[in-house]
Parts: sequence; C-alpha cells; structure tokens
Amino acid sequence: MSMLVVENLKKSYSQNNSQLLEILDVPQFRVDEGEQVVLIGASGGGKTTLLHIIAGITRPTEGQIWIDGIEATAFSEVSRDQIRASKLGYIFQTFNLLPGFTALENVILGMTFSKGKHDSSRAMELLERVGLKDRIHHKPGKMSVGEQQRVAVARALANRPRLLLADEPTANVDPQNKQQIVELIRNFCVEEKIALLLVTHAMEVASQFDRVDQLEDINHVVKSSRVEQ
Amino acid sequence: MNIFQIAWRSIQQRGIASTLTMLSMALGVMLVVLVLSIYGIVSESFRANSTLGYHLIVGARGGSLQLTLNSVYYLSQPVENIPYEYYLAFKTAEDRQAELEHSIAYQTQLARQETAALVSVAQLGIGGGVTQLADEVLQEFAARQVQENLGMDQDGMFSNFTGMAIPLCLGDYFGQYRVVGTTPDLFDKLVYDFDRELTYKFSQGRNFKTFTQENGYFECVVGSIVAQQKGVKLGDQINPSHGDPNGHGHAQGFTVVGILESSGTPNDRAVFVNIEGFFLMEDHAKPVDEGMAEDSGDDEEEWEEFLKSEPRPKMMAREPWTFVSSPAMVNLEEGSEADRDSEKKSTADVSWESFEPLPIEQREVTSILILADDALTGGDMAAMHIVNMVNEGVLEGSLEWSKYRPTLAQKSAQGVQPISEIERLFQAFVGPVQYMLLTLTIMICVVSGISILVSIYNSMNERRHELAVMRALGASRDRIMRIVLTESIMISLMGGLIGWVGAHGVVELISPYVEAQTGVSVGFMSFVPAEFWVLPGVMGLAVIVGFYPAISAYFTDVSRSLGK
Repeated sequence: MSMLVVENLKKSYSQNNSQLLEILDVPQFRVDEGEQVVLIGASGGGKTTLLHIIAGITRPTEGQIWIDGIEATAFSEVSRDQIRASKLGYIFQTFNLLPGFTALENVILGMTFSKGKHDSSRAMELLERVGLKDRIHHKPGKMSVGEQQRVAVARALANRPRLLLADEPTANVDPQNKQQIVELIRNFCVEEKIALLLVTHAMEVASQFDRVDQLEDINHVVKSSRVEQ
Repeated sequence: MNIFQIAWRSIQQRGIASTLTMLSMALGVMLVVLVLSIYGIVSESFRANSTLGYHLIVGARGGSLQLTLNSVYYLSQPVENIPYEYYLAFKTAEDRQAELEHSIAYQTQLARQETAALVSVAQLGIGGGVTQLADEVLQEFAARQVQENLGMDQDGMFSNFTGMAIPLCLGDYFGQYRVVGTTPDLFDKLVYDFDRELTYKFSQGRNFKTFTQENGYFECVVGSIVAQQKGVKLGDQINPSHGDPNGHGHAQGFTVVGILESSGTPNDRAVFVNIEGFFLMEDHAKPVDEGMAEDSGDDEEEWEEFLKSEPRPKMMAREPWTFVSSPAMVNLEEGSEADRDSEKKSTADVSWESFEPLPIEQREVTSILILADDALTGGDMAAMHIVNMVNEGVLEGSLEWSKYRPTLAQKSAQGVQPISEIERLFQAFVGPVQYMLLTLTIMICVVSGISILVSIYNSMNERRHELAVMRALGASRDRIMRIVLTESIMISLMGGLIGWVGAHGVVELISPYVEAQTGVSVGFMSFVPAEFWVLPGVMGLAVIVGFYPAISAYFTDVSRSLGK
C-alpha cells in the first residue's frame, strides 16, 4: 500500500511581470508503507517546495496528494493541519528547534498539536534513544549542532508519524554526526514502520538507501530546463 | 503542552521585554486601584455615620446640607438651633413628664396652683396636722392639674414613629475638634452599623452619665483620634472653647470618663459631653426674654410673679453663669461680685447639689438624630412621614407646641434624610474629581496596553519563525492566534496582579495616616467593589491589544518563515 501518492502536482508562482514561474511539475510520485526513499537533486530544484506541499504547508497550484490513503489536497487547511499533526513527521535542515523550550519540551511540542493522548514518557524515551537522556532539560542554545539535530529527529517522531519527511537533515552537521543522524532516522523508521522521504544533495547519504530518486526524473520542470541547456 | 505553557515559554524567552511591559501595566493598574481606593476612602469617610443608626436629622430651617455636615461630620459653620421642645416631641409621655418638670411654665403654674390652694385651705381655717395633709393632697392635685394643662401626660407628636431620638448641641470646640453635647443614648443604645450590629465601644473607661456624685453633670468621653492627637487621658479636664476653635474657653470643665474605640466614623474626631452639663455652661442658656418675653403678656406677668414668689422653686437657685441673660440672673449678678468669681473656681470646690438642670424654655438643640420606627419598613416609611410633618410645620401649628411656645408658631425646623444629602454632595463634588482621576489612570492603562501591543508586535518578527515551526508541527492558524492572545493576556494579567498587590501594599502603608486623618480604617484587604472590574478590564484590554499581533501571526506565511 502506498503511504504517499503524488499525482499531476504542479506549483508555480506569479512573478513581478505577471508571468508564472513554474517550480514543480510532478506527474506521479509514490512512497510505499515503510519504504525509505531518498530524493536527490541540485539546490533550487524544488525539493523543499515539494516537501512543503506534501506536508500541507504550501498549497499546490494543481494536482492531488494522498497520504495514508487520504486525499490531503481535498481537505480544508484545518484538516490538513490535523493530518500534518497526526500522520507526518518533519525534520528540517536548520533543525528549527524553539530556543525558549528545553529539549524535552521541544519533543513534546511535536505531539502537542495532534489529537489524542500526549504522552511525555514517549518524549523521554525518544530523547533517551537519541542519546540525550542527560540533556533533556537543556535548551537548544546550550547544545551542540549534532545534539540539536538529534532533538529535531526525536521531535519529528514524537507523534508516531506514518510518513517522515526529512529535508537535508545532515546538511548542517559534521561528518561524524552526519552518519549517526542518518542511522538514527533509518533505524527509527524501520522499527516503527514509518515511510521515509529524505531529501538531500549529499551522495554519501543517498548511497546508503536502496531507492534513490533523482529530482529531475520526477519533476518535469527541472527535466525540461536541463534539456533546454 | 497547552497554550498557556507555550505562551509562558515565549514570555520567558523575551524576559526583559516582557518584564518591562508587565511593569508598565502594573504601574497603570496600581494607579487605577489607588484612585479607586482613595475614592473608596473618601466615600467611606463621607458615608460613615450617614446611614449608621438613624434615618433622619431634624434641625433648624436653612441649608439641609449644612445641617447634615454639622450633624454627621461635625463640619462646616454652626447652624441655628431649634427649641428643646422639638426634641420632646419625639419622646413618650413618661420621658416628657420627667423633662417638662424642669420647665418654667410648669414651675410657674405649679407655684400658682399651690399658692391658690394654700390660700383656699387657709381661708377654710383648717390647722395642725390636717392642714399639712391637705397641703400635700392639694400640691399633688395642683401638679396633676398643671401636667394636664401642659399636656405633660401625653406622648410627643412624633413618638409613635420614633425608635430613638438623640439630641446634639454643637458650637464648642476642643482645639480643632468639635464638642458635642448629647445624651448617653448615643453610645448606650445607638447601633451605628445595622448590618454588622456595631455599637460604640470604649477602649478605656465608660460612657458619661447624666449625673454622678463625683462629677455632677460634667462628664465627657472623647473620640479615639482626639485622645490620640491631644494626648487625652481618663480623669483629664476638658474646657471647651466657645463658638470657634480660638474662642474663649469655658470656665467649667468636663471630666473625661471614657475614650471611644476607633469606629471609623466622624465620632472618632469629636468630644462628647453630657448635654445637661453643656446647657449649664456660660452662654449656652437661651435668654429667657427670647423664649418667654416673646410670649403672651400674661405669660410674662406670670414669669415676673414667679420670680417674686417666695419660696421660689429650687431649680432657680443655681450658679450665676447658668442664667446670664435671664431676669433672675441679672439680680444675682448685680448682687454679688463673689458669685462672678466663683465662675473661675475649680470643679472640686463646686457642690453639685447647687446645679439644677436648665429649664426647658432656655434650652436649644442644634439637631436631633432620629431612628424612625414602623413595623412595615423598618423605619423608612415612618422617616418619610416625620420629614413631611416637620417640613410642613405641623408641630409648630399644634396645640402641643402652643402650650410652651405660643408665639413661635412659625415653622422653625426641617427634617433631612442624611443619606440623600451626602449622596448629592458626593455626586456634586467628589464624583467629578474621581471620574477625572479615573479617566487619567485608565489612559495610563491604555498606554500600557499599547506598549504591550508594541512589545508583542515587535517580537513578531523574531517569533514568526517559531510560529511557523509550530504550524509545520501541525498547529492550526486559530491555535497560533490563541497562543499570541494568551501571551498578551498573561503579560497584562501578571502586570495587573502586580499593580493590584502593589496598590494594596501602598494602602496598607498609608493606613495609619489615613485613619488618623479621616477616621476610615483601611488595610491591605480593603476592597472597593469597582476593583473587581479592574482585572477583567485589563484582560479585555489585553485581548484588544493582542488582537493585531495575533492576526499577524494568523496570516504568517509558514513556508517563507521557515526558510528564514
């Protein structure tokens, strides 16, 4: 069963000269349940935009997206917020931890907006598993970059997502932490049967995955611009 | 995490800015609460005693406000007096009889009746023990005749509607404080706070009595503030000054037998002397020629006859200064320089037996405090009835009155309900000042509110990213808006609470001064009802000022903000 299905997805922005700038044109893209997929491509190719559209943060110009069998694009913004809160996990390139919150609170925040029980023991457990048991009451400013990204990973998993979106999760960490972060993400996804869509331009990260998709293969806008060049 | 925890974290994150904003709101709220408290103190000092224990005041015609200020607060210029008989109109037959026996009219008629009876008996030629027996019977008969003639066996006109009547005589001072001549009932019987059933209590000593062997008619009690400010102790002698604070001092002093507990009423700031002693002081007796000489010619003749009669009734043999203007006094003054000197002698040398109560006709009172009484409304209806009757001059036009004051039939008194007078004064003078102060302080609060708006709005730039992260984690726009509004409300409420506590702390600090100056007891836990609107008001303000940043947060472009 497909955890994520993208069909005929298009995204374009209006420019100052009132012409449309097309960013995405994805006829079809799927990620199956529990599957781990890496999407690689050059910077500015629309990877983050694609993730934002899948997460419901940005509305597509046209097309449909199904998440766990639910057509997210057919729902109102409030419903999409709820789908994001309950079915999706999101790891940002810049971690995006809230500086005023402790590590534990940042992780708890990951489950705060979903419906259902908010179990702080889940947050403790996740932090323990990412090796930050002794740092739960530390604020991000007092933590290393690697530690911050591990907190971000724990936060993305706090709501027991069905699909984890990771946007360049290793871009800002040192090589040693880079591998640890990737392994953490992959192990969690396997254990909790979470489908993973990881966007990166780092080949050493991509090479560890069985399925690696090139952005230009799925995004016709990128493909056509390359042909023109 | 709930939105309160999230908002609180955000406030902590911007600690300095949040604290300053909070303090700004605290200052505004503190000023508002202080103004309300001061207003409450002023109100209380005005209203204290206005509703406490009596329904109305009866006094001389003229300004009703001045009568109220005099009788309730012991303030303003002294007002005219009314005849003592007005006071008796509120008394029962039994009380009236006891008092009217001290009237010149009674004594005069009694003497005439007795003389006539004795002459009749003498003419019959009855002698010895039989004569003595007949003398006693005739005297009793004569007394009864006179009492009937003068209506002494009847209840006063207003007595059926009266629960209690307390006369006040004003005009003397002890330093800056008013000296009030009154009856012991003021402290023995008056419940000055109906709701809490409070009566006046003494911190030291006891209430004054009408007469004691020790001090005669000259006992007094002092209010708590007077005792404190003037250092008055039990056993001290107080010599009131006549007419104004700097007037000449009366030679006759009053012995302090009691010091009142603080009651928070104007009575804390006055000296209360026995009314009988007050009447007996120099210049306090109404000249008889004013009272009686204006009467009919027959009465004047009777008076002259009375003065020539031998033996004269005991009541007339008194210290000279008690009758300075009466015909009797003139004779005594002319005859004895030594008597005039006796004015200066100490009370220790005085034989109280030589002091007799002043005749009714020479007495006046400044006002009468009336506790009205009726079965239906607890006195309200009766109070209205009395006011109407007094203001229409029903008593002055009655037979009851004419027996004592036949030529003073014109309307001389008015009835005033102090609550409405005080309320009117309050609305006219204190109210506008309060509204002005309140307006100013509310403006301060609005400025504080705007500073909250500026503070939160300025923080929106740095917070937009945080809010976008929350949106990315699944928070709805509504929830983000509520978080921002909650933050605004929390800052305002915390500031408001700090200001509220601060204001009450200030009230607690200044309470000794306030109590000394106004007699109103205040403290940290003193509230005015309007205060309970302050915190909801602050909350409303917070919602208003938080709305704009909240709307801004609502429309945050998540995708763009996440990229920052």
